[in-house]
Amino acid sequence: MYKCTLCGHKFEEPDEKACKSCPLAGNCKQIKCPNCSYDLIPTGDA
Amino acid sequence: MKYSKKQLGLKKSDETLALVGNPNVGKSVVFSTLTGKYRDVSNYPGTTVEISHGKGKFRGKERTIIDTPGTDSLAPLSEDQKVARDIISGINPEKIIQVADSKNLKRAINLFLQLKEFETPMILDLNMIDEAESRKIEIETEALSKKLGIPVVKTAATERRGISNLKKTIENAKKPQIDVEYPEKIEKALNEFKEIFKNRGIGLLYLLEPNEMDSYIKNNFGEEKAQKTYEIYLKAQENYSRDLAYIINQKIRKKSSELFDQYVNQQKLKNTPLREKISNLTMNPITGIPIFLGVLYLVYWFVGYLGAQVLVDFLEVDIFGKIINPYIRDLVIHSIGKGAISEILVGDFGVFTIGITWSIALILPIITTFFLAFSILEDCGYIPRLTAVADKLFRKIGLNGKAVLPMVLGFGCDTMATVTTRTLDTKKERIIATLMLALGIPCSAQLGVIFAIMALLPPYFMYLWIVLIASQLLLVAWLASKILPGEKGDFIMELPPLRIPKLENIIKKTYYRVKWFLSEVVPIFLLGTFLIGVAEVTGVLLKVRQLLRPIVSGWMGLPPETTKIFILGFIRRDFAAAGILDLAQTQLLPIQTFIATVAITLFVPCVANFIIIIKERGVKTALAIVGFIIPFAFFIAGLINQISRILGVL
Ligand SMILES: Nc1nc2c(ncn2[C@@H]2O[C@H](COP(=O)(O)OP(=O)(O)O)[C@@H](O)[C@H]2O)c(=O)[nH]1
Ligand SMILES: [Zn+2]
Repeated sequence: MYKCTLCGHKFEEPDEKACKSCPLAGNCKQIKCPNCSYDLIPTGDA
Repeated sequence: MKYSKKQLGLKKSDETLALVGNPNVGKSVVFSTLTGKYRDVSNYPGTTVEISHGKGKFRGKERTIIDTPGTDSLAPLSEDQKVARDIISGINPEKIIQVADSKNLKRAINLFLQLKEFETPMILDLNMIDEAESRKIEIETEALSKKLGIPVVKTAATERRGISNLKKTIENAKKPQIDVEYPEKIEKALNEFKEIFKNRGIGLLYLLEPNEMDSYIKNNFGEEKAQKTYEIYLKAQENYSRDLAYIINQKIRKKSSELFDQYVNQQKLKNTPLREKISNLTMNPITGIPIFLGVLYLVYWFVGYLGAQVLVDFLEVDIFGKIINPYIRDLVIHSIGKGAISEILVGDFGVFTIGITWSIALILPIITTFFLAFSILEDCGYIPRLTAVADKLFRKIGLNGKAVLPMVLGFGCDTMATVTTRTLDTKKERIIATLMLALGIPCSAQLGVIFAIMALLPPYFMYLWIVLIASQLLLVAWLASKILPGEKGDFIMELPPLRIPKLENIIKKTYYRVKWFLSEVVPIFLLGTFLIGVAEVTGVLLKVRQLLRPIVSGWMGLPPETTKIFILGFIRRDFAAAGILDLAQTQLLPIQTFIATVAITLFVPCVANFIIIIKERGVKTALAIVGFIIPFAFFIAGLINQISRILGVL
């Protein structure tokens, strides 16, 4: 379970569709909140 | 006759989704946000009760959504209640969305505790959350969701807030997992009913309303099962002097009071603890803006002095300037001699002299300190509060808050934010949003370098730059409020607590962001400097420089060397900003530094952003956007030059 640092939304599945279209190689370790689209770096408590 | 999908003209295999709820909770509004305009309305056989159903698509799957009459109980007393019961037990929908009035959660939980016995996967939608919010009713959705065993979402259907989240959540519907804790004998009866009807729901309704349910069971399940049901009922009733219905309703009410007390807080405004006070101060526009400016100043100081002056001085001047670069230059020239290749590698514009040196000695320390500051602000919960105060502020001045979220996302990374514009409805909206991001929102990496530049200039340039950025953001917000749809942003924030940031989190966040920068951004930059190096030795760069001379030198009043910077700007704005920083230390006047910074602030973010615009919006739009932004950036920067000339600043 992740918790978004911006909107507080808790989710299990990050929004991966958006990440697929990113032109960068994708090793940013960030996940996208499905509620607000913020890119967060998961930490122990989030 | 058993009511079934057939009566609604549906196939047995059609997946259905029933909307259930107490009367007047906004169910019809939710229904239309899920299904759009088209719906079938039919009278339920033999009644005047109307049933609407329509189709909606969720995560690519089409579902039929059936609206049920609003009811407080499924015990079949009124016609409406009978119809609701028939839909749930007869059609047996694949999923149930219970729509609740957030201000009146107890009533919703009463109904939920009946519904859950049908063991259908459910979602609880706390609708009218706007009204609950304005009454300071706080619902701990996460904890409630855990307790009930189903997803709980918040919506304000009339404003379309939370609807897209509701749609997304439909797939995650789960069977409720909560125990009402009926007396033992009743539990036993319910479990026996389950063997007959596959769930405890019909049995529960039987215990609540035996007479009416008796004929229902006879008609739908046959005499034999009706007889068995009756026997189970009698055996259970024998143990109590009161009606089973009374006992059950009492238990349900007790449970929902318990849940209500546990997960719903009516906020009292007095005696908030210190954190709450600070949190409120950050979100009140009157105190929030000075706090924001203070925070901004701290970040600026941290990045501009510690990052840019102390660390950069050390790395760029002492390490790279005096030791590494001379060594590499000698090495290259000794081994391959002077010529085009060594020019590309270690010349004035070489991959090494510029690419590596700027990446490692200039941008890296700045970006590291900036990410460090950002991670601290993020981890302590300030960023969401900043978002909230920006939202309030925009509304105060008559703009709606729709631009706020894209702005916050854009500050992180314009490229990733551009991807999310695909969720907008019309082509026009998507293009405007893309343009706004590219033109209006400086990304975090660029912001870090700009802070470093500003630290070199007299302070009034910083204020000027803030005014420029602020008016740019207001313009963006104004455009957004004119063009983007919807009342409010379609998302609901649950503020995380304000807290002392955790060192471990800060280190982790900063580490990953810096690592991302090194592994993904630096290679692009090296490739870019390589291409520019090639352009230089082949004379292409000189041509471009001559071509741009009237703009760069004439209109903007900058030395011709800055042309390189703008070419770098096509690769990434932050690298161009690094170039300005480099020149500012040696060749540029403060006003020239400022003008160049303004141009770069407005520039196209980076090649990655350009690629994503092509991917998402097509080549034509991408070219049009770039074709607008670049002249615009030069125009504004030049305008500042012309004005400052007239005023005699230069
Ligand atoms: N403030 C607010 N009003 C709502 C919301 N949803 C519905 N309403 C209003 O509540 C009233 C009842 O809504 P309706 O959909 O007819 O309720 P239903 O009986 O459950 O179908 C209407 O006036 C709606 O405009 C909401 O999320 N917020
Ligand atoms: Zn979020």
